[in-house]
Amino acid sequence: MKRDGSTLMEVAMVLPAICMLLVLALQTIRHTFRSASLAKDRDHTMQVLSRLERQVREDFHEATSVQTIRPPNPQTNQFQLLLTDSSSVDYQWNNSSIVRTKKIKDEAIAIDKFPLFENLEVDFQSEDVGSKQHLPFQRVAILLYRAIPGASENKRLELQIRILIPLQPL
Amino acid sequence: MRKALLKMELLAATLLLTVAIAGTPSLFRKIHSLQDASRIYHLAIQELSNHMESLTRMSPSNCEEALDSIVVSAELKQQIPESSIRGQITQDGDAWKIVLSIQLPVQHRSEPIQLIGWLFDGEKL
Repeated sequence: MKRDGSTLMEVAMVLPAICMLLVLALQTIRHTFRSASLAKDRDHTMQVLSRLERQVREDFHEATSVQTIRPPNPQTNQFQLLLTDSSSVDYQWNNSSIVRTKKIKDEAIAIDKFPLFENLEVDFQSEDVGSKQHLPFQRVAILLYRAIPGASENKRLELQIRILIPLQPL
Repeated sequence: MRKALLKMELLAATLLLTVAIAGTPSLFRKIHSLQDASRIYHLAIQELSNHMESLTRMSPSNCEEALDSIVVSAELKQQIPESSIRGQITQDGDAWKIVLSIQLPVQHRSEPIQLIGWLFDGEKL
């Protein structure tokens, strides 16, 4: 004779399995949306990094010297490139973005913002090399890191720019 | 018209859903590794550009010396320990051709990434 329903034991076995499957399905949907959002952020970050790299290299090629300025607020750092006697470019950064300000006689004429990512760390290095090809150079390195709290590799390198600035005209 | 589903149909649907869900973690891992590979590729390009900028400011003889001792920067080495860089300079007519190539770990890219730069003799231009 054909049964019309299921026993309590059968239902008790099937229901948890269905619940587990539904939870997994929801997790998958959540991960999919999160991955899409992360991929979009990543794409945006790569575009900004590329724009920043091009801009920094252009500015450094025009520069005659670099000086680092460290204001009292430890959350904000900046460095300044002297292009000519009257014009300069300031790069200032905080926890998530970099702002470039071009100045002529201390008056801002252009401001560019490079929104990057949270936990941005900038390592700015500058040293006089002495001589290279018999001319003194200033070696400048700008390294952008993304700090990852709780990860085994706690800093991830995102951008590295190294440039030699001749201290005398070539 | 039927008002219910057969147990067999439910079982087949559940099986399909399970297979679909089971396949997703590997896809997420793949996405993550592709994003990482893209970051590594950009870092490698920046490394080559940094070296090329320095090399193209030198004379051919200094450039040859520098190429003999060229190494990957400490920061990149820390991020990609198995990376290595090499370069060569050859004369091509009045110009000098500099070829730099960086080798990344095979899981990121099997072929080396190359960047070519030129040195011109200013006096002959």
